[in-house]
Parts: sequence; structure tokens; C-alpha cells
Amino acid sequence: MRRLLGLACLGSLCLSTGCLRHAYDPIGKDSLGEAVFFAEQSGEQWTLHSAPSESTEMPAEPPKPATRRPAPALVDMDSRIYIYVDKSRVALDEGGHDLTDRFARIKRQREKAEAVLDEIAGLTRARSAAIEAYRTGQADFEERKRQYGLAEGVLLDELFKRFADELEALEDIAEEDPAGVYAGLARWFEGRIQALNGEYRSLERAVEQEGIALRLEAWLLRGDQLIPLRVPDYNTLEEGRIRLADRFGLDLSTRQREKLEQEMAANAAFARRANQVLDGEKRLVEVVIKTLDADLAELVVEGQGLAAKYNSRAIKERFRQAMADSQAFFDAVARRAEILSADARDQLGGLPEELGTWIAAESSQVQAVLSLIGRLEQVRGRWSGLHYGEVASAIGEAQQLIGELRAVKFPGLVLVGRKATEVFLHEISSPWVPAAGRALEELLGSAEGVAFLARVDETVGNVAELAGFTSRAADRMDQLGKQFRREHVLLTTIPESLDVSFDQIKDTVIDLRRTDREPGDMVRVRATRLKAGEARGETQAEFEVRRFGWYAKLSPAVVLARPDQLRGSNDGFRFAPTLSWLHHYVPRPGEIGAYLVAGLRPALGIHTAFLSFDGDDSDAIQIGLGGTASLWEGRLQAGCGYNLMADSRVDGRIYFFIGTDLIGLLQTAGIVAP
Amino acid sequence: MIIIDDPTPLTDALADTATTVLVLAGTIDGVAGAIHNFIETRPDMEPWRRWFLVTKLSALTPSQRSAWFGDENDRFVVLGGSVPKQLGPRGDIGELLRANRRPSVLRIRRVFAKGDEL
Repeated sequence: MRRLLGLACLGSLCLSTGCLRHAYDPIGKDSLGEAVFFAEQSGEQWTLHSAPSESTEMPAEPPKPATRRPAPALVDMDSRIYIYVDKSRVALDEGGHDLTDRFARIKRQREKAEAVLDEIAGLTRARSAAIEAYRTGQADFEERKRQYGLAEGVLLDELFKRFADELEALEDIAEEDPAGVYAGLARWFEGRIQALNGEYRSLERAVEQEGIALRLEAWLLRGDQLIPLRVPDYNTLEEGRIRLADRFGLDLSTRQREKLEQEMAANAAFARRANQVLDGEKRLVEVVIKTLDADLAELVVEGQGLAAKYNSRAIKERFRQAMADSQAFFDAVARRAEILSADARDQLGGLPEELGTWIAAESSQVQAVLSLIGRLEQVRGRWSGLHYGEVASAIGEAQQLIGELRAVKFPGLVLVGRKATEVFLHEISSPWVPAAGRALEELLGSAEGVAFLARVDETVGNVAELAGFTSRAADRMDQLGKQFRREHVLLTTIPESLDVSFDQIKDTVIDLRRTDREPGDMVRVRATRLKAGEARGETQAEFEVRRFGWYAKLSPAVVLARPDQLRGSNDGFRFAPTLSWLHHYVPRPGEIGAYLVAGLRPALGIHTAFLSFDGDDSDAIQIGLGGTASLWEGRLQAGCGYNLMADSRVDGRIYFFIGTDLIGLLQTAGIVAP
Repeated sequence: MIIIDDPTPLTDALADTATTVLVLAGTIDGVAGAIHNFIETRPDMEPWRRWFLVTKLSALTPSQRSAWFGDENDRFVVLGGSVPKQLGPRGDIGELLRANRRPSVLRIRRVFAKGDEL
């Protein structure tokens, strides 16, 4: 039954989180969004984003607008992201109005004229070929004549249709040019293109005078880290060295190696604890819950305890008692007033009121903490069943609570405790006559004084407890928010970025190969239009860094391993850490089988397992080697292998296993920071 | 070329597999004559393209008169392809004029082009 429960838990965790994708809040469409186009080059392949189309040639014109959330484009780790900028869509006129239509009209007319010019050039060639064939009696004359007639008919039909308003001018130029109809028409269209270019340029100059500029920034987002990326001509960041991704997954950086070691250690520890579960020492659910939500759950339990301890009636009574004890102490001081000077008597007379103010302030802060504790539980309940769509509002709620917790300030005197109180009393008594100082010592040592200081101690203890709690609660909430922060990360302007003036705007490229990147990182590109230095429109595009094609990686996991046969044992499953070298193939979206592979993310590889089939001594490690098959990027792993330490088959030489890469799973679920 | 009574040049042109032939029906002083004379002045007309002004429909066979012009004057027809020639664009002579009623080089070339396609 326990085996089934264990398998069911692992299976359901895999199924529920193995295919999790990050969700994004859609951002509003800005008119600037149509100005930025992206094409990705990975090896020989060009991919337009966000179009699924793929090509082996660089697109002549980028026909797709910016890739934007909620559908980040997927780019390969070794790719370059080309950014095309349509300047005309960046422009604004004097009144801040979009000039897209005006630029577009000129561009359309120019394109039309250029198309006709191209057709005339083709027609002229076809005409020469046909005349040559006619004069030399070539056999293919009929075909050439037909082709020429077809081309001329198409061109003239188009002129009549698309240049109806200018037909008379075209007739004149065609009729009058001594070099022939088409030489005249070609000259006319060349002149027209020049005029349109002039009109376009003068419009551009008008925009330049408005101080229009473009800022293009790009970041690599990893967790809550924001790494500025070099965008040539748009910032002055240094160009990194090209480093291709290691497709075999064995050339680990120091950081990756450390991370791998940590994951393996964590898996080994989990396996050990889980084996205690199998042995009946602990319940699996306790282990899992402890792993998943230990900090916040404990915090809430602690908060509930504090709330019960300091319920508002009790806290009022405590502070009332503190006031009474203080008053008793000061009354005792007053009884010895004959030894004090007049000034000292005045100062001492004011002390109860001053202390009362502190205590009242403290009481008020304690009440505030009690109220916040109630809300902490609500927040915890919210996070435990959070849907991605609610992340933004939950973070806002948590941030507000963090702010309020951090705003709680306890009176300084009480926080530093008895010592501060004594120092304070001695300080104010310093101008008193020396005898008064001795009297104060006596008073602090009297029954009233001891009760007073004990009350200070108790209050300090109470407040310190609450202050410590608020600090930890705020830190934990902050940490919780950070796990999801990359969805809502605030982009601040990169200091090295340049505001590129309208006339200098050009296409550019982000070379991912020149930056430290990992699968799962996000690349965010932001285009900001500026008018006279002031932001006037912004658009963002987002890309998720993926591996496409073949690659391999090391995958540590915790598995339930079972020997085929084991002498003197019940042959049951035992938890064990494994390290697999898994080989993946990930097709690009649109390739055959991409949908299925994207859903299952299968992999095959080899593994080494650290087994402990000797039930009596759980620390004894046996090494196993074998094959692994996995789904969902290693989230679910199964395999079989050969136990190198076993003498025979009945000693557990052959084993099978099923398991999960626990840490990756928890990271995917957002429970453990990557 | 102007055909008054003898259609031989036209017949010869129609018997040539290479030619594309524009036949105008009308008077020398009329619109058809103006178009004919205009084409005559063009130095850039393709060598396989031929044009004829038929001033008397009686010079044509009854079937040509009927099929090409519907037995009416101030009409045009283009014949192209191999022999026998296929019927190409045909219509009112006004279709070959500009808005200012002068012969249109572009419209004339367009009907010739359609004939070349045959």
C-alpha cells in the first residue's frame, strides 16, 4: 500500500507539474509594436516570430509584427535574433500624431512604381529576345513572341488599372520619347521614384526636427536576475565572446557543477528520508509537505500561537499591569523626593507620562502585528492554491503586507531592554545630587524597582518576539514573491543604452551566443519611442531560450528502485539517488511530431544509481549502471540496470526503477528557487 | 497599309505564321485613318506586328466582314497566332483613342499584345 501511495504521489507530482509553462499577462498593443519585427537565425535556419513559418533563407522583408506576451517566441540557445525596425512607424508629427499612414502611402506608391520599373526592365529584355528570334528565324520565336505579348499585356493592364489618374501623362511620355514607348515610361517612373524618395526624406527631416528617437533595450531574465544584453548600435555594452552551447551537456561551468552537486546531495538526503518512510518511521505525506511548504506553514502556525498569546484582551491587561508597576516604582521614587533637587523632582514627575506614551505606542504596534498575523494566514491560503492568472494580484497583496510588516516600529527603549532602561534612568539622574544617584540604585533594588525592571524584561521579551516574527514573516513573503518575480520584473533603463535619433535608426541583432544563457531563460526586448527625450510609447517582445535539435544533459533524480530478485528480502522498492545522462531531441514548432514531443519531452540515456538494497544497513551504497528513459524533460524517469556490487542475480544484480528529478520538479513548480 | 480593293497584302500577312495583324475598318479621313497614320509614324513597333486600314468592307470576304466587324465600319480586330489566325481583341475604333480623342499608343500596343499571346 505504501509503495502504491509513494508511486501515486510521485506520479501525480510529475503529471501536475511536468508540463507547466510560465503564464504571462498580456500587455497592451502599442502603435510602436508594429515597428519592430524579429527573425531568428539558428544555424542555417531562419524563423520569423511569432509566425510558425520557417525558411532556410533570410527573409527579404520581415512580414510579422513583434512577438509579444502571452505567447513568447521560442528561440534556440545558439541563435541570433535579428531586429528589424520600420522607421516610419516610429515617427510622430508635431502634434504627437502617428505618421504611419503618411509614410505608408509614400512607400506604397514607391513600391508600385518600382514594381512597374522592374516589369518594364523584364519586358525590354523579352522584347529584344523576341525581335532577335524573329530576325534570325529562330524556332522558338512563337514562344518568345507569346511571352513578350503576355508580359506587355500584363504591364499595360496594370498601368490602366493602377495609374488611371496619370494615364494621360503616361500616354504623352510614351508617345513622345524618341527611344521608344518603354524607354520613356521607364524614365517617367524613375523620376517618380526620385520624387517619392524626396517626399519621404522631407517627411523624415520633419520627424527628426521633432526630436524623435528610439531606444532598444534587451535583457536576459533568469529568476529575479536581469542581465542587460548587448544590442549593437543601441547600447555600448561590450561584445562577449561567442560560446556555443555544449550539446553533450558534460562541459559544466563551476556554477553548474556546484548546482549539480547540490541537487545530487539533496536527492540523496531525500532518498534517505524517504526510505525511512518505507520503513514506517515517517509518513510520506509529512516528508512531502515538509519539503514543499515548510517555512510558510511553520510561520503561520507560529503566528497563530502569537496571536493567541497576545490576544487583544490579554495584551491590554499586560500593558495595564506594566503601567501600574511603573507607577508604583515612580511613587516609591517620589517618596524619596526629599533627597532630590527641585529640577530632578520636575524631571522625575514627567517620567511616568513619558513611559506611558512609550508603552501606549508599543501596545498600538502590538495590536497592529496581531491584525497582520490574521492577514498572513489569508495570504498563505491564497498562495497554496494559486493559479497563474492570480499571481499578479497575489504578489501585490503580499507586497502590501510586507510593507506593513516592515513598517511596524517598536519603541527603541523597550527593544533594547533592561540595560537601556537603566542607562536611561542613570542619564537623567546624572544632574541630580550624588546622593540621589545612590537613592536610585536603592530604588531599583527595592521590591517596586525589581517589579518594574521585571515588567520591562517581560515587555521587551514580548515585543522582541513579535518584532522577530514580523521580520521573518516579511522576509519569507519577500522570498515567496521572488519565485514568481520574473513574470513581473520591472525593467529599469540600462545605463549604457543609447537614444538613437530618428535618422540613425537601423536594424540590429542580439547574438545569444555571446551571452551566458541557459534553457528556460527569457529574453525581453523593449523598444521605447522618445520625443524630445520623453518616452512616447513602448512595446516589448519576449523570447524563451530553448534547446532545439539534439542535446544531452546530466539529470540527477530520486527513484524507487527494485531488485529483480533479492535473497532473504521482500524484494521491495527502495529509494535511491541516480545520475542519468539523458539525450533529447526537440523539434521546432511546426516540424513533424513537434506537438507530441513538446508535450512529452522524451529522452533516452544511461545512468548510474546509488543503491542500498541491504535493508539492514541503509548507508551501504551499491553502484548500478544501466539505461534510462524519461518523459517531461527528466521529470519522470524509468529504467533498469546492473548492480555492480551484487554477486549474483539473487543478490539484486538486475534492478528496475521509476522516479523523478525532484529538484527540477520543485523548481518547475516554483517551490525551490532555480 | 491601306486596303481599298485588293486584299492581297492582308491575305499574305494572314498567311504568315509569325505575324500579328491589326485590321482597322473605316475611312482614311476618319478615326480609323488617324489611327492607321499614327501607327505608321511609330518607329518602335515590333517587326512582326502588321496593321491595315480597310476602307471598303467589300474588299473582305463575307465571313471576314461578319466575324471581324459585324459588317460595320469604325471597328478594329486583332488576329494572331499561327495559320489560320485566331481572332483576338476586337471592338469599336474608339477603344483605341485617348481621352482627348487622339490615337492612344498604349491602347494600340495593348491590343497587339493580346494578339501576340494567341
